[in-house]
Amino acid sequence: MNDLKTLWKSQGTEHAPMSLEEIRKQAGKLHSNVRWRNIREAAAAVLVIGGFGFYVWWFPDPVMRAGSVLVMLGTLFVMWRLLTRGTATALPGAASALTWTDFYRGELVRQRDLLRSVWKWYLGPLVPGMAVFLAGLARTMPQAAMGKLAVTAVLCVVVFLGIGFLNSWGARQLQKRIDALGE
Amino acid sequence: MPEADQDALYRLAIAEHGSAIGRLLRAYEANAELRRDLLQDIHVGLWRSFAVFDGRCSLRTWVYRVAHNIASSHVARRMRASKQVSLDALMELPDAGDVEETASEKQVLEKLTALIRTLGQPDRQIILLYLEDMDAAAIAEITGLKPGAIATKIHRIKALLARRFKDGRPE
Repeated sequence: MNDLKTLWKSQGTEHAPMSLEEIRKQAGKLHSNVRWRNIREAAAAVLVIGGFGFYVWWFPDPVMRAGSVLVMLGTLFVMWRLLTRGTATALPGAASALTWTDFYRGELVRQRDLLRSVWKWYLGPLVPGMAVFLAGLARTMPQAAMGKLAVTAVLCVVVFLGIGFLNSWGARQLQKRIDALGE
Repeated sequence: MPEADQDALYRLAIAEHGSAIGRLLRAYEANAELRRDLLQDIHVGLWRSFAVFDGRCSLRTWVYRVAHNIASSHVARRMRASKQVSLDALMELPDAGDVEETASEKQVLEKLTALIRTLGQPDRQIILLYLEDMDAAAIAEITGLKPGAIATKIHRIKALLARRFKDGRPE
């Protein structure tokens, strides 16, 4: 067995050590990657906000306009949560020097809480705006098109509930792994 | 901590444990290009971590914790691509036996590395620390697992390695 240990430790070094200049450059690049990810997410929010901003201008119905404003506010809230949560966890720091059990448990708990609270920070903030917007559509649409509107509303509910269910299921799976760690 | 101290700790860590980090890389990532990325992540993570190093554990324990945690996160991100098993499950599997009895050291190392890569955490971390010649107490300090659990794992690792390899050569 000692032969195997000796053999393992006799392996040559594959890579040259990194210089401190290179380390600092890479650390800066990591910050830059996080910044670009944030910019991409913000761009997606700008698209949604731009679209519903157009609706505020385009649709004369006050209920639809109110719904559009609520969706825009909900999107801003989701973005704020994404950016604040994401930035805090994107870069390795002191947490990476925890023991494996503490580090792993911390990661699992963070992911579980994110999934568990998806209604609070992702789905919930968009629901009022979507509901009010659809109610406004129902007020203005001709009777003949109500069937299509009902299908759209049901689809929205199914998608939201589906995302909520999947996140809740994911959180339960993570909780099982957290419980197993304590054994 | 002043940046000069952070730099000095980083230099010392790499001088003392740089080669162990290199071996760890091979055991965590088979793809050479991704291995280079992981190396950079570990080095940057280590350097950043020394900004808050408080000396409550040894430099060696700190370095191994950071390196293994970053490597574990790297593997977790790529987990869908490869199936991992536990040490117990590996004990049950028959040996592939694809290396001849007169295997070279390179072949033995390749087989050992491949075997380690199939393991999930914390078994992969424990076998690597065992191969780095650490005892159960040192492994427990790095992983946070109880020394008794580590001793049991080491016993199984020894049995597994004895079955798969003989005198440093595959059976």
